Amino acid sequence: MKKTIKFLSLSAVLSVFLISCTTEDVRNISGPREEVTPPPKTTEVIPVDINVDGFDFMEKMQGHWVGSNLVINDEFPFFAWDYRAISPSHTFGIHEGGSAGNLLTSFFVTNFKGKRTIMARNGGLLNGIYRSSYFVLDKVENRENGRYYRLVDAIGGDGIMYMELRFPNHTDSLYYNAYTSGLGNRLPNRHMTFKSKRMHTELAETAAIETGYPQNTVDTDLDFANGFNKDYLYVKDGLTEPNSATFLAVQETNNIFDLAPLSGDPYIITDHPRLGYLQVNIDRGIIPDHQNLLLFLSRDPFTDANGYFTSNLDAYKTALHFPILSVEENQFLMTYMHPDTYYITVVADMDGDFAISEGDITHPQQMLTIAPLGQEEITIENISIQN
Amino acid sequence: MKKQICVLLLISIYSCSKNGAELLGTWQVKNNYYKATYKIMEEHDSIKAKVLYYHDGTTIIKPEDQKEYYAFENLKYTKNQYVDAISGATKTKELHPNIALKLIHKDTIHVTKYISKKPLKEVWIRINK
Repeated sequence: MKKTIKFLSLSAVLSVFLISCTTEDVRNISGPREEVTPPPKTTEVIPVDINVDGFDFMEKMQGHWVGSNLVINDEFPFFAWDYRAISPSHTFGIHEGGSAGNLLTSFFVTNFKGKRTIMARNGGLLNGIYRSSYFVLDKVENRENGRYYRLVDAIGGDGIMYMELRFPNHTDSLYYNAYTSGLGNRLPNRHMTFKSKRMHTELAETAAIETGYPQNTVDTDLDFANGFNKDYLYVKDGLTEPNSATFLAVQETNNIFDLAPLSGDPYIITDHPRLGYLQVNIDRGIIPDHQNLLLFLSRDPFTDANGYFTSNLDAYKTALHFPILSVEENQFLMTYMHPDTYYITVVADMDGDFAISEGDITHPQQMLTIAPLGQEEITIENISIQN
Repeated sequence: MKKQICVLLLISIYSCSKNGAELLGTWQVKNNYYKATYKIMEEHDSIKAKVLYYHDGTTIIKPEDQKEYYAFENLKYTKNQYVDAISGATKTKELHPNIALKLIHKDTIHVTKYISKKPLKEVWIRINK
């Protein structure tokens, strides 16, 4: 059972696209040959007209993408994005990191700069910083090695940040990379490198049937035909105009319901159709307060009726959320939850390796169903079975 | 005592004389997330690594591309390793390299990239001279 599967700490992942205001000019691939690295510049954004090409992205993006992730310099041997439709033209995925915060990217059909196109909304909440950035599809290519899509910062273009996705031909694979510049502090370079396989397809298929996804239509709240309200866009220190389609708010507490409206973000958590909430309460019992807890929400149970880890290794690949709860944290609100039935497993990480391993303490399996827009609560107790 | 001073002097001279010649050649990156081949070369007194090939799953750089890309430039030898010295200045004026190369064998380099001051370690293998 030793290290059945690695679910590592994911707090670092939450820094994807985070406004890290460091000034180090980190050059992974340093860009065009220059004796001195040029300052990053915004570039013109020309959306792809999906009435011509590119709408197929919405179909392709659905799925439980299971693989590995390199975020800056932290490697996560297990990582997953659970992309499911939440409207006829909007697919949503989030990484819930737990106490540290979360990171989401959703893709939706919209109007922008006179074109019917696709946008991404990327951001989250981390240590009291709320960020939401908008990207627009500006490249669609048929390459020898698959179908390629690029989405760039909707104001700053690829000079500020962008994401690339490639679906290799005749496979269920996805390569999903993000390149950031710290909002213009340096030339954009590789920030996240996620490679994965589409698994457990019935999850997204069910959501697609229930929402009539995918359709080339625009949700009322997600029409950017008139662009963004410049009064609310984040303006970086030293600039007079926003160089990114980014909305920011900062507060000491990590309360999304306060921060989201403060940020001026045109689309906030309460605008999302279908997504629900889950309040998880944990009765630690014999588990000391100083012990980190790993929380898993999965399609299949991680433990048997007696509370021992399952020997079915495939079950661990069905992890949909895998947050980590800090020391002394016994309550956690899971937000942006796809409606579904989940197995909920709390693991007391006794050896502190942030992975399921021998000696960790668990409990008998518990299951819960979240209805569309549901607000559920569960209490996990009897965490007493040492594996 | 004289002998010790001579040895120290020799070590010092040797250290100062490291000009990167031992790094010159073509190197392949061993990394689970991207493939890359770099040519470390000397040009205008600068040790730099030209990108011959790079593939991270979505971005691909090939030799036939019009633009030239460099993984680093202006390496300097210090404290038993080569560091990128040109762009390490921070707000605090501390020198903080973006990349450090340590030759552990004539055909193997341990490379440490510093991203947000956190190290990302790689191994580069020489594929030809």
